[in-house]
Amino acid sequence: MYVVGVSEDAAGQAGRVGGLESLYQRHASDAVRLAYLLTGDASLAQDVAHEAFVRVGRKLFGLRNDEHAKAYLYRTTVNLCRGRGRRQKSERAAVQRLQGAPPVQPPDLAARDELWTALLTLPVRQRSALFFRYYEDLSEAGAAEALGCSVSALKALVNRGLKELRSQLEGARDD
Amino acid sequence: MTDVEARLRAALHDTLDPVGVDPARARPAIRAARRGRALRVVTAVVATSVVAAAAVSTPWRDGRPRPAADSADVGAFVASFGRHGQATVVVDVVKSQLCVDLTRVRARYGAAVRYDVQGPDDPRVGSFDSTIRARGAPACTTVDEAAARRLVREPRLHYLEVDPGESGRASALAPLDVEPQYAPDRLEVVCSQTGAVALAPEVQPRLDGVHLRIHDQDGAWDQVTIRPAGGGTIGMRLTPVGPLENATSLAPGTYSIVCFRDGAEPGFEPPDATRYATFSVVDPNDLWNDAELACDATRQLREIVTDEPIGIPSVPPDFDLLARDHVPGLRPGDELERPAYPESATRREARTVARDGVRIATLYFSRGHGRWSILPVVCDGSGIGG
Repeated sequence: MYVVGVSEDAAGQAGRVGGLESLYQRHASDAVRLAYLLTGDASLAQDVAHEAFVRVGRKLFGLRNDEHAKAYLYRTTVNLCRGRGRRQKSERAAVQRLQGAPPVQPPDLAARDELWTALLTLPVRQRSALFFRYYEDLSEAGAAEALGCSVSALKALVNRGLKELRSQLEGARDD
Repeated sequence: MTDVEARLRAALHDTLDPVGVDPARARPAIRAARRGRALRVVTAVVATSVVAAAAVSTPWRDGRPRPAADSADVGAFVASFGRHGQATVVVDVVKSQLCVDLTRVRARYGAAVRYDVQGPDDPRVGSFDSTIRARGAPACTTVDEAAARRLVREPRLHYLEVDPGESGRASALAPLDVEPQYAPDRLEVVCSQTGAVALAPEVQPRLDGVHLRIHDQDGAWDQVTIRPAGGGTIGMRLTPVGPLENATSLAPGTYSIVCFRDGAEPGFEPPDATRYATFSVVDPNDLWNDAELACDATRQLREIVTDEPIGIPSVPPDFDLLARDHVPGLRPGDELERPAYPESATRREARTVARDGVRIATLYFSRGHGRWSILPVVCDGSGIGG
C-alpha cells in the first residue's frame, strides 16, 4: 500500500483538464482507492487504475473539463473491475472444477470487520455507488455521471446497497 | 444520517484514505497515456482558410486487421482540423467512393467541401467536389478508382486537403506517424447510390447499446438491413427527414449493413454484395452480457406469480429485488444482470444469474394475472427454482 500527496494545480482549479501529469496527480489515487474497494486486492487495484488512466489519457483530447475527465476515469475503472471480476470468477470456478478444491479467497480485505465483509458481497455497481456517495461525497448527479447511469438508477443502487448492508449487519447481530 | 450510513462512511475513510498510487508505476503510466495521446496530435491549421491536411494512415487500429470482407479495399484515416475538430475519412475502392465525416468539426466549416488529394510523386492524384447536404453530416463523393486504390495502398504518400471554399490553401506537411485509432462509440453509415459505407470498421457500445447513425445521402432510401455474420437479419426503417440514430443491442461480432428502397433488399451474393458495408462491434469495456447459459442441459421451470402488482406500466419494479424475494434457490452472492447491454432498451425485463462467474439461469419477467410473474430457465443442478 502506498501513500502519496495529492495537490491541486491551476488547471484543476480552473476546471480544465490540464496535462497528463496533473491529471494523474489529482485523480490516480482516487482511481486506485475505487479499484481497491471493488477488487479487494491492492496489487490488482494498481493495475486496474493504471490501465484506466492510460485509457483516459488517450481520450484526453475530447474531454470537456476536469470533472468530466474524473468521471470518465471512474467509469473506466468500474468497467475494468467488472470485466476482471467476471474473468476471475470464471477462472476460479474452472480451477475449482479441475482441482476439486475450494476457490481461493481474495486477499487483503476479507478479514476486516463485519461491515467490510458485507460491503464486499455487494455487486460492483452498488459498491461503486456507495463509494461515490459516502466516500467521494459526490452529488447524486455527479455520482450518476461517474457511474454512467441515470440519477434514478444511482438512487436505486445506493438504496439497494444500504438495504443489503443493513440486512447483513442485522443478520450478523442475530447470529 | 442513519447508523449504517455513518458506519459506512467511517469504514470507507479508515480503509481507503491510506491507499494511494504506487510511485514506481506513475512514470510508466503517464508515458503510456502520453504515447496514446501524442498520436492524436493535431496536424495544422492555416489561419482563416480552415484547410486541413492529414497524413493517410490506412490501418484503422494499429496492427489489428479490419473485417475480412473489405480489408484490401477500404482505407480509413483521420483529417485533423486542429482546434476545430477532426474528420474521419473513408476511401472505398470497390465503390469508388471517398466519404468525409465532418460531424466532429465545427459547424461553420461544414457547408461545402472540396477534397484535394496530393502525393509527392504525383502532385494531383485527384480533386473532387462535393456539397454537404445536411450541415454536419458525412458526405460521400465518387472518385476515380485508380486514385482511390492509390490512396488505400500507398497511404503514406498522400495528403488530403479539405477546403470549404474560403480563401487560402494548405502548404504541404510532413506525414505523421501511423495513428492507432480507437473504435468510436457511434458508427456513422452513409447510404449512397453505390452502396452503404461505414465510416469506421469498428464501433464500441455505450451503456445503452451500439449506436448507429444512418444518413440517407440521396434522400432515396427507406430501409436498412443488418446481417450478423452468424445469420439472421435486423431491419430498420429510415426516417424521411434527417439521419436515423438507433441504440441497438448488437452483440460483439461482425455485421454487414445495406440500404434499399421499396422492399428491394439486395442479395448477399455478387454483384449485390458490394452494396453492403461491413463493421465489427468490439467491446473493450466488457459491457455485453450474453444471456446464453453455460450448461448443456437447461430446464424451463413453472412460472412464479409474485405478489407485486403491475402498477404503472412505464415504471417497472426492481427486478433484482423481485427475483431475490420470490425465486427459491438464489444465493446472496449470485449476481443478477440484465442481458445485452446494461441500459439497453430491449430485454429490460430479464435477468441473468451468474454464480462464481458462470451463468446458470435466466429469469424472464412478465405481466400476467394482474401481477408480475417470473419464468426461470435454469441449468440442471443449479438448485434455482426449488
